[in-house]
Amino acid sequence: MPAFSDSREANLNRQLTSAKIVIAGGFGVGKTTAVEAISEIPAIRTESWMTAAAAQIDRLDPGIDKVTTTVAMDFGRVTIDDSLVLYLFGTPGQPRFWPMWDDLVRGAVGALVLVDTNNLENSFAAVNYFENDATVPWIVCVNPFHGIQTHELSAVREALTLPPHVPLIAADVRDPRNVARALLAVVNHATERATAHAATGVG
Amino acid sequence: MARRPGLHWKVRPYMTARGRTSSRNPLLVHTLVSTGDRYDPVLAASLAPASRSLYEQARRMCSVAELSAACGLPLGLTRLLINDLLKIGQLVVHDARSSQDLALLERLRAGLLRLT
Repeated sequence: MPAFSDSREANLNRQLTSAKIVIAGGFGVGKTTAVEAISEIPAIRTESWMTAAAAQIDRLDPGIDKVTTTVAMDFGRVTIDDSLVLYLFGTPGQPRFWPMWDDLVRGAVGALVLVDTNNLENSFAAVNYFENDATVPWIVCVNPFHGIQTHELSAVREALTLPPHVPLIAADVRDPRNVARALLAVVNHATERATAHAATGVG
Repeated sequence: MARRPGLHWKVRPYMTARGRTSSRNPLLVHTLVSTGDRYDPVLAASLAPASRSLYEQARRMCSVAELSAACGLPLGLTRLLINDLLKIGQLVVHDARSSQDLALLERLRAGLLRLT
């Protein structure tokens, strides 16, 4: 293998890299709003997500009455610097699409789980998922549609039975700067975890 | 990579893998893919419509999810077809870093800070 062509290819690819943060939560909690607020492209909605094989299994399974083969999922993009692009993926809200969550979460820097104080139960499933079924760093963000008092955050933590190591923040995700702050909190949490792992020689 | 004189572009992808598989770089939804500097109109013309549309779209580097959406193809099929094109060396994957790489996280932090 000639070294010349190798280094030429390396130059062309110039460490162009992408990263991903997943935005999760129940239906109508503001996932798409958050993606749209900060994305430099209009949030892309893809609805032909499931594979034909998965669709076929669904049809054959008498326990599932729906024949839905399409799943709505929104994603957006933020250019971080000249060689790094951050993708944001909103998870499909419906719990029956959890295998798809695994796929979305794989390789993510972390996850932002949105909750609405008026409808906490709506995000229980997402919180459960990240607590028990995923290994990525995650934080919870209260999306205060109508404002929130600081003391309410501890009540939310209690209601969601969040482990103490999971950060809890509040952000109005209609505001791009707030979304940036929330994503920053995810990155900071991921950094802490990565540093701790490096220190203990684990992971 | 050395030219392979006997290899015609109509040979099926699985015949031409030659060790260039995606196993080291699994195709995640945010994995960046492009034609690199190798765009080949003759190859493009020879591809089936779905693969051709992916190949054309990838002249501009974009993620697997963007390719799936832009070409109106299900994600699973998109991955399969991209893998075929990767195997014959007609697409390149631009990803390398682990999502928990400290240098990557620091760049993300700096970039997001500017947006706050």
